[in-house]
Amino acid sequence: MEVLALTLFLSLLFAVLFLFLFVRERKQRGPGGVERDSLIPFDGDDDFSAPSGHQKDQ
Amino acid sequence: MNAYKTTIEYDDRSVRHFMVASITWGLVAMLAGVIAAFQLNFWEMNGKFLETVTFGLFKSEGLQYITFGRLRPLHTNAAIFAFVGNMMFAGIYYSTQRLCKCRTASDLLTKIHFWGWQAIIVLAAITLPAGLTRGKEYAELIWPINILVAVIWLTFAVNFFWTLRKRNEPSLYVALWFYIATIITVTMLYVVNHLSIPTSFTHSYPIFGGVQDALVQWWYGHNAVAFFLTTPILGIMYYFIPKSVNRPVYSYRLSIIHFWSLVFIYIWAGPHHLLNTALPKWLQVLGMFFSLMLWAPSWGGMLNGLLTLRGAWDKLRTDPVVKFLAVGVTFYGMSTFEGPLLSIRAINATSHYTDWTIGHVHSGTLGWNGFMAAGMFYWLAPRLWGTKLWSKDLANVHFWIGLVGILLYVASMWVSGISQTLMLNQLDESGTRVVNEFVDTAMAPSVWGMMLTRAIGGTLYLTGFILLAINIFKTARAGKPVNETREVYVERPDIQDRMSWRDAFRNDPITYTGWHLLFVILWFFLPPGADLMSLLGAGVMAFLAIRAFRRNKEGWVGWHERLLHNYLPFSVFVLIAVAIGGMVQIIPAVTVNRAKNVEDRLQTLYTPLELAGRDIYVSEGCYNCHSQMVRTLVPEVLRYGDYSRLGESIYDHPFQWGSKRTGPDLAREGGARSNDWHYKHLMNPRSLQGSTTKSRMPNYPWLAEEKIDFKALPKKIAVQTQLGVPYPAMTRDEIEQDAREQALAIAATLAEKGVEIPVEAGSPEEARDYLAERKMVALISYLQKLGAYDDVEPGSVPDNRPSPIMPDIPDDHKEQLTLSEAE
Ligand code: HEC
Repeated sequence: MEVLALTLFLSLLFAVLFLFLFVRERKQRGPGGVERDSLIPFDGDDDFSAPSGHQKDQ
Repeated sequence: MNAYKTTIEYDDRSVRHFMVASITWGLVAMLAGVIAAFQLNFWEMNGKFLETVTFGLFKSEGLQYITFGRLRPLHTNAAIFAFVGNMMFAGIYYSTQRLCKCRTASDLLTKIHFWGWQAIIVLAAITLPAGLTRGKEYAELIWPINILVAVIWLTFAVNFFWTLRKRNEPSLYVALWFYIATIITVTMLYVVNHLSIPTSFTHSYPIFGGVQDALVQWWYGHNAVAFFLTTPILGIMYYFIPKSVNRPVYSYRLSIIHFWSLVFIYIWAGPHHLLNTALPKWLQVLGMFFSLMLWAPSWGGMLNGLLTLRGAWDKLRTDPVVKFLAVGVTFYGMSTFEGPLLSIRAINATSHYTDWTIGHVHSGTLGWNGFMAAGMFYWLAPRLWGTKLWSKDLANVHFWIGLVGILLYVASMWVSGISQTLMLNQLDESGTRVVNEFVDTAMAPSVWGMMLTRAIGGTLYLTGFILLAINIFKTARAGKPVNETREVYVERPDIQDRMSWRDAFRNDPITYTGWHLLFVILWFFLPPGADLMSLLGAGVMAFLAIRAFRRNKEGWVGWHERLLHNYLPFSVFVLIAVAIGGMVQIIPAVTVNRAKNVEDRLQTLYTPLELAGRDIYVSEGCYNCHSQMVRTLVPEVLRYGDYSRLGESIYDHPFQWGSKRTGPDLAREGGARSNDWHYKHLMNPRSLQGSTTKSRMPNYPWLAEEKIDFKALPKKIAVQTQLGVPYPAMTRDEIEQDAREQALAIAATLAEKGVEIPVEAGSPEEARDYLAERKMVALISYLQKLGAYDDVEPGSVPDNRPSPIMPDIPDDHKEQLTLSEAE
């Protein structure tokens, strides 16, 4: 059963680490260089809410 | 730098093709699943029921082509490769063109890819019901089809990378990373797990056997889930969710972490399919450890997907596309939470071989894959046919029916799996005997009733998908096919695809990561003392890396950004990331001397007839219901006998440990029953006295009619010898002679008991001669051989651990079991 305890312990560590990084990430958000890449899918969409070239949806 | 404007017509025709193919095959796959599910409640669902329904007008013993053992592989292969496969190709072709701002590189290759893939599916749909199979789960297709798959997959790969090369957007968007990982890793997995030597045009033996085959198979099997059912869909998530809510992904930085950690960690987790077996403990712990680590990246990915909806939650109520995608991602989170949980050895002892695992898989395929597919299709259809979705209401109905279907499915499988284990593990007061017969646990209401609930859940889900098919069909009819054209601004900046290999490899991030990984791996392999030093080294490296990163953040980030502008170095790093995990696991296990895996028992070789019988067992797909692996768990040993040593299946090409138990384990079946019992049982399990009257195992009457292929045996033995099975030298005639004699002897025992045969026989001799030719006899000879082994001197065999592998973690389970035996 120590295996189980060890496993739970390690996974909790991971969970905590993950939460910590997540919160930090949230705090540090800014218009960084990396984040700009997330706009690639919208490149050339002159109307952000109705992609050009497409028929209007719905 | 030269920039200009140009107009591009995207190839949306192929996207339409793949989408329609996915929906069509999806219906076939789900229908096969629903029938298979009902077969586990009513075995007559293999066609026998027609007799009852037509009041005997239509005489039917059931179709051998759709018995459970043959139908399940058809279901799984169709769901994975035909339904999700075509869906992912649709998504990849659509989004890659947009993200690269260019048309797919070659229309011809796209066409070959599309039609080649459909041809493979059709061939699969013919060969699997015909009983032509390699006998390894999700890798059942026979070798000529394997080659075709490899060729078509490479066609796709060439087309994809060529498109990347031609791209008019310097930076690779996150979706593309996931597609790259998919293509590279699936190629690696597929090739290794399909290595085999043919014995005929339709039959081959895998080159790995026993424990090695088990490791390779589950390295593949697990990563088929990871890199065929997950990474491409994550790429699709990263493109289609932002598109559907008109918002960029929540955090791009998180997606970088999500990607690299997922790709690196996933590949290690395969051995979690082999927990509590006699597999070396270090491998089991490795599999468990890495599975648990998957929690973090998986949830990072899920949150990244869900939080992209921030500020657009209202769409969740109004837009069916968003509904499907959001719930799909949520199921990704649920099943990746459950997966690591099931990898914990103590929990796995309860869940493995039961319906719980089946429920887990379906929360992934129905919830994550199926709902992502539906969301994507509903988003695509109006755009591909230039109209609006035919009926939003119908899509909403689909959503709710589908969701209820999944929930019924998953919940009932929990109940059924857990309660069956509890019943199976129940001991009497003395604690030395199990109290419940296997069949009785399967027929208990909490199991049988739950399985019926599952079948109903599956039917609901299928119904939902039929609504989707109607909706998309009507949408297509209302509009007409349109290929999007778009003006793009092309610039080929100097940063694109100019990275030197030196720049790619010689830098801090790679140096530190490399050293760190080296130390971690040495920690696994070095003897005590040295291993701790390596762990320490790994720690120091991590510390130094963090320091270097703090000092030179720009440098590190800039390097990764440059990598994203250079598809080749990027792909090479993906390959390295997945290859490390693959090698650490596979190479020691595959290259290690087989004798080391033997423990104190060595499998007795199959006679030629038994080998023929084994091939029939594989061909009928008996492994879909029966395992051949007594795990190192007390109730299991009490029920079936001694735990299975690795040496007892060392010559099994392919291994037959199985992955689920609809029927009891057969590892120690040899000698437990008489020949005529087996005969009657295979003809009709319900005809015997005792608990088998409740059996759900199908009848196999055709085995008493079809003939054994004696002529194929010499070639089969030759290939086995080539694979290292130590058969003595035998001539063709000797092999055939030997098989015929053994068949005659078994047939004689059957004839003596006067078993019923399909033809009129004047005398017992005639009956004997008839039976001696039939597959049934070969199969019985195999069943009677199961569990046969030779004791080997413990001293003469090196210990079971593939050395020099450390750290050595004592295996309490095994020690306990050996002790109790000795008492
Ligand atoms: C649909 C699942 C299913 C398939 C497919 C299946 N079985 Fe079974 N099998 C069962 C179940 C359930 C039992 C337990 C009840 C019984 O004895 O019939 C069983 C029992 C058995 C037993 C008796 C074990 C014992 O000693 O009590 C043998 C032997 C056996 N199966 C062999 C086979 C072979 C050989 C095949 C392939 C030709 C096969 N089974 C295919 C479900 C299946």
